[in-house]
Amino acid sequence: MDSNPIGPTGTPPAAPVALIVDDNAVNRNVTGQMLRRLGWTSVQVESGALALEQLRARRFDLMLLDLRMQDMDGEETCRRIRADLGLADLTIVAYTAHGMEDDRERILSAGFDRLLIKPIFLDDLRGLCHDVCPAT
Amino acid sequence: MTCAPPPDDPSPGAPHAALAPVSGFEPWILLPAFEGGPALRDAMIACGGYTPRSFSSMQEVLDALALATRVPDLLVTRVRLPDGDAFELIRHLAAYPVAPAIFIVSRQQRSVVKATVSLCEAHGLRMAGTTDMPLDVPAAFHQIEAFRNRARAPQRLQPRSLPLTVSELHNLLNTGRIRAYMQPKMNLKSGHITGFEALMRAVNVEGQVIAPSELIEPLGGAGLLLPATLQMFDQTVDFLMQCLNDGIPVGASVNVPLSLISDNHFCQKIVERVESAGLDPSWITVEITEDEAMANPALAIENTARIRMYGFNLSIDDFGTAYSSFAQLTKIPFSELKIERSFISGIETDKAKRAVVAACALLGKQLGLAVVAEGVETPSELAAVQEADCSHIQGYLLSRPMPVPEASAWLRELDGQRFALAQTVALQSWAPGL
Repeated sequence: MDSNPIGPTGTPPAAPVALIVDDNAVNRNVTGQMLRRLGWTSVQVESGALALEQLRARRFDLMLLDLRMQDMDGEETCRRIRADLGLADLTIVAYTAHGMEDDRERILSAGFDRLLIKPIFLDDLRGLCHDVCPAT
Repeated sequence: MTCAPPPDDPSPGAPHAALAPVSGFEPWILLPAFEGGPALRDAMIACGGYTPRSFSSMQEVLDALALATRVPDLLVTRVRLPDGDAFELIRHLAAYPVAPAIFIVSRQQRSVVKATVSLCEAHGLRMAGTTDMPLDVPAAFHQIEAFRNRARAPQRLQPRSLPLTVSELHNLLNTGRIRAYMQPKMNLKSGHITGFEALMRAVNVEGQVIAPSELIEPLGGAGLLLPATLQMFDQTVDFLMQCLNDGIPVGASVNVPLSLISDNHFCQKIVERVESAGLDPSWITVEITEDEAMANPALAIENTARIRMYGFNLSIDDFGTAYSSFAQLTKIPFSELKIERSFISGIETDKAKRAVVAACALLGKQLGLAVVAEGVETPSELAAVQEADCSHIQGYLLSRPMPVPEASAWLRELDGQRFALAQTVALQSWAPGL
């Protein structure tokens, strides 16, 4: 976990919080550090199942979800978030390898708001974060 | 003329080492008196400390060259000569293993001068510059000085007289002397350094850097490209892991001959290496050259699809140098297109190059590819490739290729990964790309 989004006194965090779901530790780390540079905090988990646990426990402003994961893939995770947890307003962004543009519609129909192409750079996140939380 | 820098010297604060007497630089001048030959010769002696020799015909030059114990560094010549022309002279010079650089003084129309420059390039001869008649001696002298400074710039690779032997190549491989030199790539929109290209060099026991032109073909001939490319790949993975673990999002590309991608052993090895390092393969781009991609379309599709299947990105290098079928391009799953440096060099004054680069950029954009202008060396070339709508640049304007530790330090010195292009104006007189 990059940082605890809930302050010690239970007060809401000052910075917006993103949930990063990726089974690659290097990607989780670098995405978390980019978000920090943009004034966000993040919680990082390595599977769809752990992501669902986090979402049951607390509120997030944004979720970044790798499509290609070992246990539950990104599309299935997204469907469950929308259907089982009823989180219709959470911004969920898929990230995937280049060349998946043809699958864009299918991916978005799983409930994603946006699609980012890997690798992700600071500018990709800057625009996204600003759209979700204009103060950042 | 007086020995002072020209008013538009791009680095007025730099010491004028160029104006100190220098021994060992030998220019030959093939210019008649009425076209400024003696005036240029005097300037070279007085201001450069050179030891120029003067000639009055092509034949004199060729005769002197046949007898010379050392090849001159530079030949200043007209296009039309009393007993021939520069085209013929260039053809003769190209037959020598080491030839002088050429400086053209001309009354001809631009297209003829341009053809002379192209001919030099086609023969692999170095161009020191061109100027119109009547000869402006101080301006010509300063162009020659700038060339000489480039030619002796640090990191300039030493040409070897003999090709590397198989045992020397094995030795380079077995002693870790194949080195990845990293050249940065910048996203023009964000100003961020987003990647590096790993370029193959070798460092011999004397510490001399061996250029790719001396290395890659012999490695291929000795059947050693596979281990050499794997060593490049390993060094690239290590470099990326250091950057990413420090929170710096950069990718890197490795040049891979298409023949290696069809080798299952090679593919298994590169997949094993990213997996054992824990690196997402999308941070690595495999570059194949356009001519390879087009030479055997079926093989190219099979092998490049395999690379994409494993999650690596794929780039088409040297774009514009082969005869691509546009239909073919759409069948290969490229993620990046790199425009060959010869289209970028001097683009600001060449309408045809601007048209080619703009067309490549548009094609790449329409296909959803990143479009990289390679070999960008001057602010005016940068402005032209921005105008053409390229998405990324690579070249000496950012940096020469650097050994890995130097590239790591260079990247960390940047302010938030952003490269300030303004600082590059002082670098205009750097050596051209390798």
